[in-house]
Amino acid sequence: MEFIRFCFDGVKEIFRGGKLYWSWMGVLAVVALFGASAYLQQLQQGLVVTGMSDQVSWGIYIASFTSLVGIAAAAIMLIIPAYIFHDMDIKEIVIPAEGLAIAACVMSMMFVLIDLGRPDRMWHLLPYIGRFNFPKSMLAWDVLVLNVYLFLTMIISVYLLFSKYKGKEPKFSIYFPLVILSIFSALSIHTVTAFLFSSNVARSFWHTGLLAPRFIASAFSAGPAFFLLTALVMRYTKVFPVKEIAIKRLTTIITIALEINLFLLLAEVFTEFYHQTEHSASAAYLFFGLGGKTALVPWIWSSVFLNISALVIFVLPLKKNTIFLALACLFLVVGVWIEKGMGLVVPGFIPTPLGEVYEYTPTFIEVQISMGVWAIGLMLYTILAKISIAVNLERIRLT
Amino acid sequence: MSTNKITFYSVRYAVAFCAIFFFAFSFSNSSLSIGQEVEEVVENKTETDAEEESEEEDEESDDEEEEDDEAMPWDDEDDEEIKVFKFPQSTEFLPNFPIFKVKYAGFPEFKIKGRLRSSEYFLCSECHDGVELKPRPIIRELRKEHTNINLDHIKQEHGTEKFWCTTCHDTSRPDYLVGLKKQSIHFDQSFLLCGQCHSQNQKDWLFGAHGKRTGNWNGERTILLCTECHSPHSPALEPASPNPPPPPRQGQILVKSVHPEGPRKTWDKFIYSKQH
Amino acid sequence: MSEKNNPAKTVETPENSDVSRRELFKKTAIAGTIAAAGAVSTTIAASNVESGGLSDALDEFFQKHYQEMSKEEMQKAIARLERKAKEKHGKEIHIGNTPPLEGVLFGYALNISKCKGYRKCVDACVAENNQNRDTTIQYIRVLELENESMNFEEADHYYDRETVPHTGKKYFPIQCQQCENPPCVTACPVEATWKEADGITVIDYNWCIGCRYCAAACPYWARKFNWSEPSIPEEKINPETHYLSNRPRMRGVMEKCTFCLQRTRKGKLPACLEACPTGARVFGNILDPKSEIRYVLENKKVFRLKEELNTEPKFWYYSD
Repeated sequence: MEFIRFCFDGVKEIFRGGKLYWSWMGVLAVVALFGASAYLQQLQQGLVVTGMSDQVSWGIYIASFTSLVGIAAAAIMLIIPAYIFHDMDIKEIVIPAEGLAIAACVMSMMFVLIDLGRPDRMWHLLPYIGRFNFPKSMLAWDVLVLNVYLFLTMIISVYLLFSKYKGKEPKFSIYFPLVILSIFSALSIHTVTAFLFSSNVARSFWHTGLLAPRFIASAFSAGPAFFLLTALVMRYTKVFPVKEIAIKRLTTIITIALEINLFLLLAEVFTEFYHQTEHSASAAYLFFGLGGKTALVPWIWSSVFLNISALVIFVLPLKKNTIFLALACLFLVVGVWIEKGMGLVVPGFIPTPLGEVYEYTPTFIEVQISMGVWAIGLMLYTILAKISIAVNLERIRLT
Repeated sequence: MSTNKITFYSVRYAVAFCAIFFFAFSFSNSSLSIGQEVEEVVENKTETDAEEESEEEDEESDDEEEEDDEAMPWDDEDDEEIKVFKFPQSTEFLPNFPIFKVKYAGFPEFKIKGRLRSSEYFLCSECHDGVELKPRPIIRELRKEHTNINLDHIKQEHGTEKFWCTTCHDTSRPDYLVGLKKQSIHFDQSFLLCGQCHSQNQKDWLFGAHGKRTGNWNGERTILLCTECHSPHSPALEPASPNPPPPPRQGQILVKSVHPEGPRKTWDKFIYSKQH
Repeated sequence: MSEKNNPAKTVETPENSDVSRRELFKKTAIAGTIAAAGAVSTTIAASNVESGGLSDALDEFFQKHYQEMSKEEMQKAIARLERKAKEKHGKEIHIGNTPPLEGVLFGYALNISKCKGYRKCVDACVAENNQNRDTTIQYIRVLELENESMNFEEADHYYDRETVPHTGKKYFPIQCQQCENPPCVTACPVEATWKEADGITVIDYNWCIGCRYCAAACPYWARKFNWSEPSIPEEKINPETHYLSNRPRMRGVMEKCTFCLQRTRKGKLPACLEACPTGARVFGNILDPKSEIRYVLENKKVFRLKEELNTEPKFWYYSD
């Protein structure tokens, strides 16, 4: 009964908001609708409307999926200090972060869905009803861990919110095991997504053991950075008074993860280029172009530039300036998005296993659909953050 | 080994064909038609100086005319019809040819799909009847006859002065081939002739690593005779135009693969690096 | 294709439904709902395009995996597929279901010193296997390589010369290698692709979800995707098909070379072999010690592509 009221109050909270809130949601809704119409077109004509080809059979969809899986980890870097080390400052902002995790998870699933040639046959993926190729297929693993992570995150955040709503302390014996489980599943969604790529012997660019650590390092920098960005926005718009100390903690986390990530990237680049074997052709294509084809070169160098400037800001005292900090976070999010998306998924296909250099550029429809998914994800995140903030600020509670 | 035994499936058709042909003959009273036809073909050849391919087309059109005259029960196998049509009208040649012997044992049994003698290669005995016109086993420039034959096999590939028409064509039995040991070889056994020099190819062919099987991959094995793919007088396969390259998929523009610039061969790279 | 040029056409949602949708978006915070709605609308959209009857659409939607269908279900499915193929292509199409032959493991050998790069195999394959002519799917790629190099990155896939062979070049046709350890099969999340008893990796086109993970996993670039609804001119359709190989496919599924399963399981030779004008191709049962292919494998200097990947291809290359 209490729970129903909690849900009811939560839904009510969604429809309460100022001009800014509604215009933000309105813009997102329009973008989402544009995306939906483009998706309709893709459904009717097939994936021929995308820029993908037999040569480059995964494009911006899977690239976005990969980087969003990273962002889904944001929560875990807050949950660990908050619920394992009982850091009270972080605890406040954990639940919005969980909201981000949920939204990122949903978005990444949507990206997989829109990438399917036959989305109507999704049910073939259901264990027992369809034929789930588990444990052999890494994609099956990925579907599994993503769902588990989404489920766990949802349970945890609902439980924590509900406790707060009732004005009670959450029970350690209930949330602790869940938190531990969700830490592992957060790690596993990264690892498995990395394995999804690194298990392919056919694509030497992906076939490296460093991929999983790189995924985790980049996720633990980009995820919290994305969250920090939104926290700064929340603070700026006075939606939620995020404490300075929490921001500092987040900055530390991001800086360390970013340093590790860049180190791993450097190690990778060294190995690829010291002796340029045929296995480094993709890397050569990515960084310098191959045979006069250079579509990805601007992407990766801007990613390198963004990552390094983010690092510079994070390392220097410049980060105390909110604008610079926000800029650094933005740089980092975009930089990692490129590095793990266009800089990892696409060059894996170029050159093809038969040595053909065939380039990929997303079509307008593809971009439109991707933006639609992002809009839906952001709407979801806004809603979840709004509810959790309302509960946190005790704007809604059991009376 | 008994596996060395070859069955000539064309023989069946030869018999049937000759019978029907003679039957048709007796009615149409056109006993000269073979010769006439042959002459026509020869004229065509000299006029156009056409190459093998175009002549084969001629042959095919002849073939079709024949088909129209009589509805053959084996119409679908029109290849054989024309071949047998020009074939010696006696089928008794077979017993005269011993089971061939090759040094390799254990190859799977096979049948031959040969083109036999096509219309352009009319019966040698039509002209070289051994009385008026004898083939001359002297190496010389051919001026009047057979000028259309590309003789790369005895010119380019083995050099002149080495052998001549009569190295392979039997002077005493003009409709047959002759081996180096003066043994008579039927046109359908040409692999015995070719294999005298090209023994590795012959072995590969017998075992299936060279040449082409046709019809099925299991059961009765039918393979193409050497002359199905190689012109005996100029055996190297001619360069031909390839089918078009793969087009880009709909909605995409293909930018043709560009290779890394600069030298590609190891020695060229070496020379290039010295120069720069 | 006119639709493609006119994206506005598909955006035609009435104003009021726009509003209701916006309402819907606002109200649905649970992403699951969105996903579910998407799945349902997809189903309807996809089935509407492909068939007339609702029952056919439902049957197609619920069609079981090839390996799980009973004999009757199989017959029904084939009857439906044949009917729909006729509706779509205007031609009677027979979909066979010949099982693998006992004691047969198919193998292929290709003599690279004989291949002259005529690309006859490529087009014969397309004619035999009913590939989509719009997106020009081809199962065979012929690479033109420097005589002394095996570096595929320097190969020319699009050579277009007056005549081939060109001096100093060699030609290298590549198609599905029918691996004994196929990475594509392990990759597939729904077991829509598997290796048959005769060693041929096949796809159930009605089970594939079109994720293209197999295409990423294949080291030989053998898997081709139906990016658009396949269209084949009526006169170019090969009506003799097999459920697992050359039957008409649909949009959004993978396809690949099956060594012409529809022919080879009946003892015939693959179309590419029949088309080869130089006799460079040898096909057969590698379990039969007397077969031609076994002679080639045991007596010639053979090699396989990317053997180091432990895929154990059943496609060998050799030279004289």
